Amino acid sequence: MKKRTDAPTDRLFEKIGKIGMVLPVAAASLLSTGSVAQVAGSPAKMTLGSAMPDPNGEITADRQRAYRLFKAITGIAIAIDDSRLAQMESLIAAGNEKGAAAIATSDPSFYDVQLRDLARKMSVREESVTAPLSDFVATFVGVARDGLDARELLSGNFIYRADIAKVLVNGQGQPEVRNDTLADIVNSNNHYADLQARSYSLYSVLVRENGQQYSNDGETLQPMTDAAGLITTRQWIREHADAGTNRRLVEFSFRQFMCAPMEAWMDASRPDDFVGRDVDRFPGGSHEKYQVTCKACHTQMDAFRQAFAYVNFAGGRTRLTPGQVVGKMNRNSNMFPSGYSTTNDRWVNYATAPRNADQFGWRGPASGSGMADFGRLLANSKGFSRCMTKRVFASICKRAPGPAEEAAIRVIADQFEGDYKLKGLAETVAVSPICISRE
Amino acid sequence: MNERSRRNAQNMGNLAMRKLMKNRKFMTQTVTVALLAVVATFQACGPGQLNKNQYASLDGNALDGVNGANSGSFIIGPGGAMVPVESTKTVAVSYSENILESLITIIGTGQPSQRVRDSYNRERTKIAESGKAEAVNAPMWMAITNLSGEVCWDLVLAEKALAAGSRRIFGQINFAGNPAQITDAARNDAIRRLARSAWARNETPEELALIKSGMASVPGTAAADVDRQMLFACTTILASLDSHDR
Repeated sequence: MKKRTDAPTDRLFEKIGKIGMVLPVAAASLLSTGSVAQVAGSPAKMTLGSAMPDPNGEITADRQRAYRLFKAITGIAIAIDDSRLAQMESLIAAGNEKGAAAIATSDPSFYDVQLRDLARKMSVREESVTAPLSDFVATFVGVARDGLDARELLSGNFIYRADIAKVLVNGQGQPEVRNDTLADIVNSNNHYADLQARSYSLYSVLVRENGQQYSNDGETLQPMTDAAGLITTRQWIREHADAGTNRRLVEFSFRQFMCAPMEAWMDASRPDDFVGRDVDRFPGGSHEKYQVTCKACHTQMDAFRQAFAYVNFAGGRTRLTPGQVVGKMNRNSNMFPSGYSTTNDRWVNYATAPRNADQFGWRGPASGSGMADFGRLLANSKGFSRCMTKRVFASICKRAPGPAEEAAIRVIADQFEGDYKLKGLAETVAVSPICISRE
Repeated sequence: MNERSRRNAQNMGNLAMRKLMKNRKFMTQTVTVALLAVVATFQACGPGQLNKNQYASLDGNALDGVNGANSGSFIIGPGGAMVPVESTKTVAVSYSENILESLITIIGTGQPSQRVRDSYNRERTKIAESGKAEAVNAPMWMAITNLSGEVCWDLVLAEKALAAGSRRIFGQINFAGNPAQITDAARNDAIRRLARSAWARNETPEELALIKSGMASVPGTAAADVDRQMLFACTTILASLDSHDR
């Protein structure tokens, strides 16, 4: 068939062929007339803009570097003529890349996009960036925004929620988000779902609320007596203490806060005196399989599991029964009646053999009681600071650090431990030579 | 235009695009819509330029040091020191959760309209959530294109309502005139501003020629067709890969 070259679209493709271009990108749609539905204006909502482009402005190498830094740190694009980039360019030209990065980490987008999405992935089992906004995510972002010690992520007794004065309809009148502590934060995720649906800027509206709370009966608020930061947020408990045997709480605590999935820290050489009665010691009739496979995970996990002896998630809310072990800790006890029966929340750290000792860099007692002690153990370890470094690295540099970069990760993590501020960590990572191309 | 006809317009646009991709035959669609097809060119993205040894794509594996972490863009130098390889970069793209914020920042309208939000909610499930370069596929880019079109329509409407001197992008465009009255310089200026906003660089001569050629193919001589030409230029640039390179 003869090719029609008189058609505009054909001419386009002809040109494409001539100059060897690739990735034809569509342009489709649209529309005739219609008006833009106006969104209620509010300074607390995400407002995204860029400066007036300068058609004749020079784009220096330092400006390009500033652009890449900003885009990597905040997660969003920005016009090359934006005044923030001009400031960053000047600092880069003066040899102060860290200062330039600090401009990007001061931008609301760093919190509203980059850190929000980092936390969303950590907040659900699927590790999906589409996870809903929750108390977990808000608390993570709030700790970073306020420059708190990141160890408080696992030891603090607070959450972040919206300042009610900043979420009013058109800045006045009624709140635009459901805000009842019992109904909308403890018994449900309504508060955060509304914040997300209405596109509020977490950077702008979050406020710290000291004292985590729970409700056993769904009607009365009680103070969380064993608070462990993110580990005792509703979202975390909902995700990992709903049904099951509370082992998931240990598994995912290590996965998310130590960057160690079970297979990375399993160790069959440790004692199995804490392994529960519900674990078959003769799976398929083979005790060897238990010794080699099952025990490798359960020995350490079950010894830590006691930390969660009093917590459960049921009826849409966290339940806490101090002094009373929840039933699921000792379920299926007929499987191996000689196994360990949980009677309290005293836990032991068995992840101390050389490989795990190096991996986690423990700096705390080898045993403790309850979730708060468990959270502090993780927070004070080198494994936590390294993991936060890896997570920030992956978010900003858009790839996981390679095995050969472990040394660099450890150096950055050591610097992070100077003040444990996530904002500074992001700046250090972004300007490190292994992160962003200098092309 | 009501919702039904707008949907029809989008469906026709998508259908047209598929046909264009398939057999490159000229379409004779003359609906109330501008059928748009354009190509953007991107430095370092041409065939054969992506080299596994030089480019490290985003690795979605868990950060565990167990499951084949990425090799990274460095070499081990004397004494074990890490030396970054200057010609390498990580290839990643916008993902479902940051794409709207990015597009809105690029066009500078502050907040998306409800129509854009609705479009985003429709299209987001087709946009990969990983940001991995290898996750890019045709449905994803059609979704990005549709969303870009809606965002650009916000831009056109917003700037039409402003005095020429207050506009970020279309300062030299007379929206009350007809397409024939748009000067070459005015088109160049709009394209340059869009390119600097979305691509963080000036357009190349080839890109400029392609976009202008595409604009000229938008039918019609009424004032509304000026809107469509600007919509075309904006959508072309916002939906291109360089606008989503992360």
